Amino acid sequence: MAFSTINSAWLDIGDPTKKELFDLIKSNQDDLDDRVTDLEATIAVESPIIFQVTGPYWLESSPITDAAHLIRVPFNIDLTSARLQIIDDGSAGTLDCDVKYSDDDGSSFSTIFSARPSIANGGGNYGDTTGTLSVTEIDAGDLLRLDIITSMTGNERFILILTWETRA
Amino acid sequence: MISKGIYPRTLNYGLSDSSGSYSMSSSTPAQITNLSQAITTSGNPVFVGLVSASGSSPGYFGIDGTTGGDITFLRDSTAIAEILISNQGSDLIKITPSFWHIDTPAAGSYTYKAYTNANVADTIYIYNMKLFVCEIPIITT
Repeated sequence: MAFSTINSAWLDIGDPTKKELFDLIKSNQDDLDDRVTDLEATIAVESPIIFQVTGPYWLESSPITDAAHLIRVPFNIDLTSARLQIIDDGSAGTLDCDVKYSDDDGSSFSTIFSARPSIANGGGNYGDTTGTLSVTEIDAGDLLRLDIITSMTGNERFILILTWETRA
Repeated sequence: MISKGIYPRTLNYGLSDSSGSYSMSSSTPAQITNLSQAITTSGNPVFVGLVSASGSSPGYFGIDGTTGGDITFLRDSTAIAEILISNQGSDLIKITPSFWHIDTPAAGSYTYKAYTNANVADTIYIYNMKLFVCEIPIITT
């Protein structure tokens, strides 16, 4: 389906109303609706929130919760998914991550998960897993913080990705 | 939106207790009192060295004799660096210690130690020194 220009000669005063004209109008409306639907789907998926960790974080005592990884959300959003992905495998331990939000400028933080994402060592490079969200509505100005609950020794690169959509 | 966390955020190092007033006269290497320090590394090179223990009690390496002695750094039970200090005279000499070594072990947990030994009948003094170990940070982004 594609947009088709309506022949202006069909619109002259006194011309008969033709079925072809209405077919063309319908076709164009259907085409427009398809395009708008695709566009809505595209713009609804925003660039994800990424917490990126590089280096031997496991040398520090876990849990690591001291706000080293913090983002202030600039507008109302709905979180849609959470994925933890390691880049390099470790030699011991399990990487267990939490993301907490604060709606009081950091006075208190609460988890967004009912089941946190975690990856045990030994599964190879680029292992990934998802977490189960229990909190999805994050308001403009709220803080999101990555906490490392337990570490995977030897792992030095991982990312936690939150996908989201804008919310009015 | 990206939040980047780069580690290490603090220097990964360890500092032993002071050797106090240590002396020995044996040709068999022995660990200097307290100069042992554990560290867990991520695979980067490790600086190992002797530093003065305080600002009020001067630290030094002394040799009383005619030949000298050695300082040996160990990683666990493996000698990784031996440093000769020679005395060709017969008087006590005191050296400001600046003995150090760069070790390159794989990631892991190690205990570094400083040993010393005397040649012939010399006496070695290790006064007011500490063993400093530090993983040299390599920052990637």
